[in-house]
Amino acid sequence: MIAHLIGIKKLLLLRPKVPDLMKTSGPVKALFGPTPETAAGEKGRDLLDFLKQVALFKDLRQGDLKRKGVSTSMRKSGQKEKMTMPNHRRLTLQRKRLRAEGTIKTIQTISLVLLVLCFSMIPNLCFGESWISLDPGEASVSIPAESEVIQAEKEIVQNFAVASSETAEEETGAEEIPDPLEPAVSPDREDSEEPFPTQPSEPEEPAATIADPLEPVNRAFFHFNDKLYFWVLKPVASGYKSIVPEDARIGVRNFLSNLTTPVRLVNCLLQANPKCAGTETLRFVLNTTIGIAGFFDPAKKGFSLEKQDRDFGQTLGIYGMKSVFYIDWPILGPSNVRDTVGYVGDLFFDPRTYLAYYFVIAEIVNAGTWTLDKVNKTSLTLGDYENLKKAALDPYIAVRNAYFQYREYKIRNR
Amino acid sequence: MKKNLSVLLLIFLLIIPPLAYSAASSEMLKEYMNKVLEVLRNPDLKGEPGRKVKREKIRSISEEVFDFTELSKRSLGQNWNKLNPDQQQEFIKLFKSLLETVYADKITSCTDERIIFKEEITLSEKTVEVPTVIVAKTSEIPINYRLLQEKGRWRIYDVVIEGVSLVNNYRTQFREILANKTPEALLDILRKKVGDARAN
Repeated sequence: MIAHLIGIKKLLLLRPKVPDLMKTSGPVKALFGPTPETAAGEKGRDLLDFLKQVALFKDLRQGDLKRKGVSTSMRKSGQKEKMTMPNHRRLTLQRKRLRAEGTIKTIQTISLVLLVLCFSMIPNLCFGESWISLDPGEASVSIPAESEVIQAEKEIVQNFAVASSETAEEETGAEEIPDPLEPAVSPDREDSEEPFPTQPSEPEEPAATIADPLEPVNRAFFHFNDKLYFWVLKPVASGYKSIVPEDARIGVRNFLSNLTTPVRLVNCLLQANPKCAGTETLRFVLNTTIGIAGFFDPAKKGFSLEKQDRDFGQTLGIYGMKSVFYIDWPILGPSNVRDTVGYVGDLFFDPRTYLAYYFVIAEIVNAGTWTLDKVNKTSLTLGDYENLKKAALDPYIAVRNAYFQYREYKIRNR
Repeated sequence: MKKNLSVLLLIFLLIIPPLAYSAASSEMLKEYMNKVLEVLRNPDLKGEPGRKVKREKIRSISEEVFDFTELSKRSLGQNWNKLNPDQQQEFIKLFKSLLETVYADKITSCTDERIIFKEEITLSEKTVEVPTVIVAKTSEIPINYRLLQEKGRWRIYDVVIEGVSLVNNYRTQFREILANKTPEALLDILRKKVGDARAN
């Protein structure tokens, strides 16, 4: 005990000369008393000495002086003092960050893999044989419910069909069904079942439907478009129709059509159809010059050069891309995956897109041209949509099917 | 496009310059259209009552040319067998009146279209397709009529407008309906539809 006390006294006499620390620490001040300031260079050493003494003091209190070597104890405690508190938190934070980073990286990797898989599937979807279709003759993917019906129809065809020439399209099967009701002999059946080719050389008919996995969404957008037509487009077009005479509206249509010649021209070339490309070029030249910037159409009236209506969706279809599935866009109207890609592609060649760059209020010019086109066209065909709704039991299906047939027709008969 | 479908769907009437191509089917078609045209251009029939008379006349003429039985059968396709004979008869009647009612107005209002006939295409021994183009002031639309020969007569069993077949279109609609409902429900829908169309 006394030895300890003596030891303490010895140590305590080594006064630390760092006034700040002395000030801050009450007990230490009491122990060591105020000390004069030292030179700056010595401050570090003095600090260390002080810390040693503090550590020793702690150890003395705990009675650990003998057990541990001073330097070891000082080192450990000193360093622990420094590192534990802040470092503990730092380590935890570091660990958390590392864990978070790891999770993010994992998620990123997984999503990347999935994306790559999806993209690699797309060519198969678009160009390859559809998975769900049953006939090699089908031109697009059928929805599962449809495929069951097709299957059933095919079975009936097999029951009744006499003809051998069969890729057994669904339509052929459907055509044959009414015949058994007539008291006809089998040879007759064969005759009236003929599917609907447009050319005698094409006995196959495209499947009567398009896949529609997004039907609820499409129906909602169809409803939206319907309301948009009746509440916005029709009133505007009717007003426009009453103000602008028909000839002027036809002139506007011709002008805008002339303006979009590059779209058709490029697509003609992409479809390797020089006649079409030549016709379009000639039409453009004639209509722009004689037809005064395209308001008139002397190319057609005087020279019988018909407008070659081509678009990129059609080009893609000719290359073999499937329509994949039906989409009804909110304002743009019915479309499918292939035609949407086509629409975007066409925008690149459409002068109207670039016209906007040269005007200050680019977006307004662009939107304005598009709107004028839409309103003008509608004013020339008012009443069509109403008739369609009147005639159809389910307008959504009617539009979807009509759109599908129309696109197939455009691709078949370029 | 979709608007063309309805406009042109079943425009029976037309002014036709007689053309070089003539086969029995095309002849029949031309004859029919001439008749319709006559009715439409009749100066005696004017105004609202005149329109009604026109409609009646066109209806009776159309009955000769259109094979509504065949049209109905093909529109239902495989589902035709789901209907019993009574239902089938009623379906034919309803479908016929639906088509007539819906397009009556359209027909009577068109007066200055021109039809150009093209060479007919033989689909099979009994069926042909006659391509025509209807030229109006604001549009030019290709319409093909598919005719079926029965007992020496050619009758229309399908109209294809810009590639959109009427029969095909209705078949898709009927299929969707019959996938979830009974034939009786379908007939109900048709009745209601015809009633609505008549009212408007």
